[in-house]
Amino acid sequence: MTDADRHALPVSHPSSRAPADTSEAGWYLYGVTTRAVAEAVPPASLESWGAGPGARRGGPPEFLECGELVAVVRRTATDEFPKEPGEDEALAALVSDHNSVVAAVHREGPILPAKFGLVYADRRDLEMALEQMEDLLRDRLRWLEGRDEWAVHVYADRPAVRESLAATDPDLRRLGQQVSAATPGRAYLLERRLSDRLDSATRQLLDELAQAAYDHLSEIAVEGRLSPYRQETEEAEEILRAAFLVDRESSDRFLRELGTFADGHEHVSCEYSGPWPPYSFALVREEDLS
Amino acid sequence: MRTATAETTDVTLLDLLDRVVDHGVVLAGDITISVADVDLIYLGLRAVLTSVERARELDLVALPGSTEGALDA
Repeated sequence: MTDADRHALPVSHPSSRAPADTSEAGWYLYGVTTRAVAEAVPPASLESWGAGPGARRGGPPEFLECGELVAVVRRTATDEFPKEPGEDEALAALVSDHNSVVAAVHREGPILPAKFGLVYADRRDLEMALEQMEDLLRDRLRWLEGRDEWAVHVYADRPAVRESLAATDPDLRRLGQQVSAATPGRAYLLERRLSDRLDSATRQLLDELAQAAYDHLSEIAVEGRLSPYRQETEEAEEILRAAFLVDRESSDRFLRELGTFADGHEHVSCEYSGPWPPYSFALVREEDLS
Repeated sequence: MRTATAETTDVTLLDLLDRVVDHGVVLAGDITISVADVDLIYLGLRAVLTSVERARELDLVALPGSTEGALDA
């Protein structure tokens, strides 16, 4: 079907929120929450959530109730999602819409945010999934009550740490002195040994620092999750990226401790953002299913 | 010392993508479309969102009630 055909289709049910091309219609999933949270949301405010009708096609967010659980969904067409390179701006708008709606629910109470970009063919599929997993999902939502996710990044200036180790570590200093006193041939070998040892001592120190930060923050948080991703800029290397689930009343203390950690270590800095809906803690893990 | 810096906007964008695109619950069912190629999307979106101006237009920075910051020794 061409775009022209689609636009030419008469709207047979003016009250329906379905996109015109119903053959490709689906249900976009934002997340799962409880009936109590859904009831606290004034129905009129749902329309205004997210990026608004201008940015997304299909219908506004709505609640799909199933027992005590509620899926936050909207009617959509599968071709709403750009698949070609160069359509990233449209995709970015949909990512923004996803987070805005999830955050709006999160303000009212716990939500299990869905992964971005899930469109289900049939609402019955969603209802069945909610029915089958009701106990598990309800437990998870109860666990998330009153808690937010915080993102934490710890960066280190590796060359500065290496230099500082060379100046302060007794063994490495001794080796440095031997390099200066040795004959040129021997100095070359000793220098290589010193460089290897410095590399490995720096690596070990930064690993220990990252672990110490993670352990310390995990004690204040309900739970922590390490991210496998890191980034490196000219100024700093990310030695830890993690998400923490934190009780709302502990969030000030959590940020204070993060500040204390950064203050207490030379050549180390931290960045954080939050509070986020609990994206990193929404996944029901395999051990929970067994 | 705790200071909020301009760079933290980038951090929030990065954190947003880390979360929305890479995490979250997936319910069983007939998923007609899932944005499966996460790496491609991630790179593409990063390119778009690196422009802070553009991110502001898309309302990606203003997470209601959110804070961000940089902590330095």
